[in-house]
Amino acid sequence: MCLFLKLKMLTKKGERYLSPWWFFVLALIGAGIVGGVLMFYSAHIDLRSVEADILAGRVLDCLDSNGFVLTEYNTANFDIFKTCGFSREAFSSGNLFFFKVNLSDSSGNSVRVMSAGPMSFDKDCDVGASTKAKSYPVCATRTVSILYLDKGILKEGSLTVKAGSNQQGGRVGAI
Amino acid sequence: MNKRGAVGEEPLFEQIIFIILNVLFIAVLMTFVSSASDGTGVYEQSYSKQIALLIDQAKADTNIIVNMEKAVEIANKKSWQRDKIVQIDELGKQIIVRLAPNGGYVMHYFSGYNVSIKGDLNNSDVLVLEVKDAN
Repeated sequence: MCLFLKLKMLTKKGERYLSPWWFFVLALIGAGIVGGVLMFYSAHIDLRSVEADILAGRVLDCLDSNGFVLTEYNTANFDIFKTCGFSREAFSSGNLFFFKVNLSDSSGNSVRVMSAGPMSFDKDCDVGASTKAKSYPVCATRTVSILYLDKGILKEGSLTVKAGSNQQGGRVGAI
Repeated sequence: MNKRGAVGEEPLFEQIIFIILNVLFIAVLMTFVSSASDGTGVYEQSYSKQIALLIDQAKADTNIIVNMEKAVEIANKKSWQRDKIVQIDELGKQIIVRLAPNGGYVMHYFSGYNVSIKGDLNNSDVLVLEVKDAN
């Protein structure tokens, strides 16, 4: 009340309505509403974990043939992009997607490792998982027990797929 | 008399200006809020992400059916062509959703299959995508 009286005394005669305070209050209300609306409607939907999970699932689906590793997987000219239906360009440009497949024997030794996409994701995924880092990729890891042929001998091992995505999506301008 | 009259008129003129400015301020604010709250940006983002994930998950020789009712409704409101709501860039492996002439939202997909739009959004609210093996 006291402040109000002081303000009233400060405003000159004829400035009861159009005072600088009124403009200040108007600007404050306007900025508050505009800021609030923009914050609410520019919400970002983060689906990187879902995307990484889908990628890991697709790699696993492709390489696991009823509990056996695809026989071509251990061959030198195995093309995972062609066999599993992945776009080579999507993994080679843009730093968006990554996967790493590790076939290991029963004692955990790697038999064959295969990867696509930026290799830095392999380490960045661990950083992203342990800290709140928005620009780091989000990854999903899946492991299955699997049978594979090694020099004609059927062996038991495991197939681990680590897949990551760092796709945020983005706005494009008018046509 | 004249002097008194002039002094008496001043607050009235000021009151009118005050009311006009207030109405103007509220009108501008309401216009901004109503244009921002139709959710065009959010819908563009959610549709493009949903379609990209569906393409990524799809196996070869699959048809994907997406309900685009809300997208069509917004596009109609914004006078945007319905057949330009969803665009697929096969080379860049990206999907662009536009619900208004002033922009859109782009998402990449990693699937190597050939994706094409089968249905026509001009005649229905349902988008049909055909996923075929590239080999």
